[in-house]
Amino acid sequence: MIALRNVRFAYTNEPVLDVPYLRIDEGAHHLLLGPSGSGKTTLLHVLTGLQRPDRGTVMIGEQDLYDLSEGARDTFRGRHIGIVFQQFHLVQALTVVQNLMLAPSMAGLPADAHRARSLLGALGIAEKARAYPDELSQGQRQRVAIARALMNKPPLLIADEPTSALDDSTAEAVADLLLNAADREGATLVVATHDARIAHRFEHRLALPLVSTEASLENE
Amino acid sequence: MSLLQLSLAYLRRRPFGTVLNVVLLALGLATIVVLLLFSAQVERNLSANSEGIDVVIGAKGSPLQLILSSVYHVDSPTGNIPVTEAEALMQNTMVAAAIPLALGDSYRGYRIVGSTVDYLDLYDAKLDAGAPWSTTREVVLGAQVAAETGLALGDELVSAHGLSEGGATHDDVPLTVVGLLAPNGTVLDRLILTSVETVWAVHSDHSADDAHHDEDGEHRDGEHHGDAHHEEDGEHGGHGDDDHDHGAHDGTVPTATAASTPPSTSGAAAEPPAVPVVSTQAALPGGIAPPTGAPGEPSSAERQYTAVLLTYASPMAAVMFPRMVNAETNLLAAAPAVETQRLLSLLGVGLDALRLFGIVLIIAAALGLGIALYNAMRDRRYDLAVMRSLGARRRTLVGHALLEGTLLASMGTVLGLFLGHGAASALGAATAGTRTPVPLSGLTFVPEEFALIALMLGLGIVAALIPAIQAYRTDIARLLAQG
Repeated sequence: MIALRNVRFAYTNEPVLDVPYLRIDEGAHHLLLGPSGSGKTTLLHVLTGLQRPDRGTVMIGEQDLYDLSEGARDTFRGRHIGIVFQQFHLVQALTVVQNLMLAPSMAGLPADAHRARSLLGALGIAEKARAYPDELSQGQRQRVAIARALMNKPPLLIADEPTSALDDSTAEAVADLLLNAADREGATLVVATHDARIAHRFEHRLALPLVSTEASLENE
Repeated sequence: MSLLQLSLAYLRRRPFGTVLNVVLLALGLATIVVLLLFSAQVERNLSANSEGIDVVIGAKGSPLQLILSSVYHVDSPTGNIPVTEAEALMQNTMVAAAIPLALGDSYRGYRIVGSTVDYLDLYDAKLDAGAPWSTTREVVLGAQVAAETGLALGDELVSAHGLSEGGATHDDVPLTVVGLLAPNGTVLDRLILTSVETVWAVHSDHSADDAHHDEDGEHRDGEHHGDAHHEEDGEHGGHGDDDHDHGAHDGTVPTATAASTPPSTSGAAAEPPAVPVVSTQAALPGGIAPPTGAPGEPSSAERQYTAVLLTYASPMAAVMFPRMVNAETNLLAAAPAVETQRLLSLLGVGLDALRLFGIVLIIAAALGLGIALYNAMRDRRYDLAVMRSLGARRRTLVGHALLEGTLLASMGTVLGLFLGHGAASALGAATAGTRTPVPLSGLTFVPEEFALIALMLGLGIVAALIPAIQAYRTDIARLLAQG
C-alpha cells in the first residue's frame, strides 16, 4: 500500500505537484495520465524517493520514505521499487545479464544469476544475455530495462512513458508486457504517461495535474 | 557485478584511453625507477669498493683522480711515489693497516695491479680455483677478466705497457695465471692481481725495452724512474704537474735523480746494481717521513708504489693524518668517503634533473588521468543516476570513481615497474661488454620503490577526487527527468 499525504513540491513558487491524498493499493495497477509538464515525472520521483517534496509524507508499506536518511532511502528504493525509464538507461559498458546483476549489487543484495536468466527467459530475450545494449533492438532494450527493474523482486514497479514513442500495436504489446510481468512478479504497477491509447488497459486511472482535492479523490 | 567488475567493464569500453592513461603513468614511473636503480647501484658500488679504506696516499694531483684511479681503477694514476716515503707513512702509529698498490701495465685493457694478498682480503675475495700469487710473475684473475679473456689456470699472458689497450707488449716476461677469483661484485672482478714485485719486474724489464738500450742490465733501476716519467706522459699527455712533482721529489734525492732523470743517458751506468726487493723496514716508526732515501742507497728510492690504501688506527686519525700528509710530505692523502661524496654531488645534479623530469612526467600523467576520469564520469552521468535509482548510495558512486582512479594508477604502477626494471636490465645488458665500472642490473629492488608505489596510488586517488565529487553530486532526479 502506497499513500501520499499533503505532498507538495515546487521548483520555484509555482507548485508543480500538490497531492492532498493519494492511495495505491497492493496489486491495483495505476495509470497516471497527463500531458507533459503536468507533474507526472515529478510525482514519480517523489514516489520513488528521488525527489524530496517540500512537505507531506510518502508511505511505502509501513515505511515513511522521507523519514529515512538519504543513503537508507537509496537502499530502500533499490530493494522495494523497480523503475523502467523512458530512455531505459541501460549501462552501455555492461552486457544484458550484467545490467541485470547491477540491480542486486547496487541494492546490497546477493547476486542471483539464476533469477536474471529466468527473468530474461520470461521476457523472451534469454539468448541476448551476453549481448551489449547497443546490439539490441529498441524493443529488446525495453525488455532488458523491465527485467532489470524486476530483478530485486520489488513490490512496486514504476514505468515512465513506456509507450509514447511506439505505434499502436506495439504500445498495446508493451502495456501487456508490463501488466503481465507485474502480475507474474506480484508487483504493483504504476505507469505515468500522456499516451491515452493504453488507458483502457488500466482499472485505476488518475488524471494529472493533481492540483485539487477533487482530482485526487476521483481515484477513491 | 562488483564495483571492480564495473570499473573494468568501463575501462574495457574505452581501451585506447585506458591504455594511454596507463602508459603515460608507467613512463613517468619507469623513468624514476631507472634513476633510482642506477643511483642506488652506483652508490652501492662506490661504497662496496671503498669499504675498509679510510684514506689513500698517492702522488700529488687531484684527490678525486687519486681515489678514482687507486680505489675504483677507472682513471689514470696521479703518479708514483717512492716506496721509502710511503713506508714511512705506512708505519705511522695512526695507521692500522696498509695495502700498497703498484700500477702501470695491463692485459687486454684489464689493469694489472701489484699488491699484497691483503688486497684480496680487503674485499673478502674468494678463489674459485688455484691459489694467490706466491712469487713474482704469478697472477690471479678477477672473475670478469677470466670470463672475458678465457684464460685458465696455468695459462700465460703478456702484459702491455700502460693502462689502456694498445700499449707495447713485453713478450719476454710472460705472467702465469695461478688463481681465479670468484665473482664478488667489487672492482676485483675486472683486475689482474699480482705482487708488487711482479709489476716492478715487468716494469724494469719494460723500461729497458722502452729506452732501447738494454745493452746494460745494470741500468734497469736507473732507467726505471725515467720510465715512470715517460709512462706518466704517455698516460695523460700534457700532464705537466707530474713532471713538476717528480722534479720536486727528485730534488730530495739528489744522488738518484742526477742519475735517473734523463731516461736514456749513459750516466746511469754509475748506478749500483739493482736491489731486487725493497726493504719495508726503512721508515721511522711514528715519525714523519724523512726525505726519501739517503745518499748512498738510491736504489730503494727507485722502487715505487702508485698508491697505498690505509685504514686508520683511531677516529682521531681521520682529522690528523690527511692534514699531516698534505702539509708535511710531498704526497697526497685523499679519503674515499669524501671524494665519492663529492663525485656523487657532481653526478647528483644530473640525476636530480632527470628525477625532476620523471616527476613532471608522472604529474602530467596524473593530470591526464584526472581529466580522463572527469570526462568518463561525465559521460556516464546517466549510468551513475541509474545506479542511484537501483539503490546505490552517494558514497558507492564516490567509491566507484576512486576505485577506477586507483585501478588505472595500479596498472600504470605495475607496467611502470616492469618497464623500469626492464629498461635497467636492457641498459645493463647493453653495457655489460664495455667493462663499465658500475654494472647495472634490473633485478634488484630498492626500498624507495615502495614509496613510489604509494605515491602512484595516492596520485590515482587524488586524480579521481574531482570526478568522485562530481559523482557524489549527481542530480539523479534532474538527469532522469531529462531522459
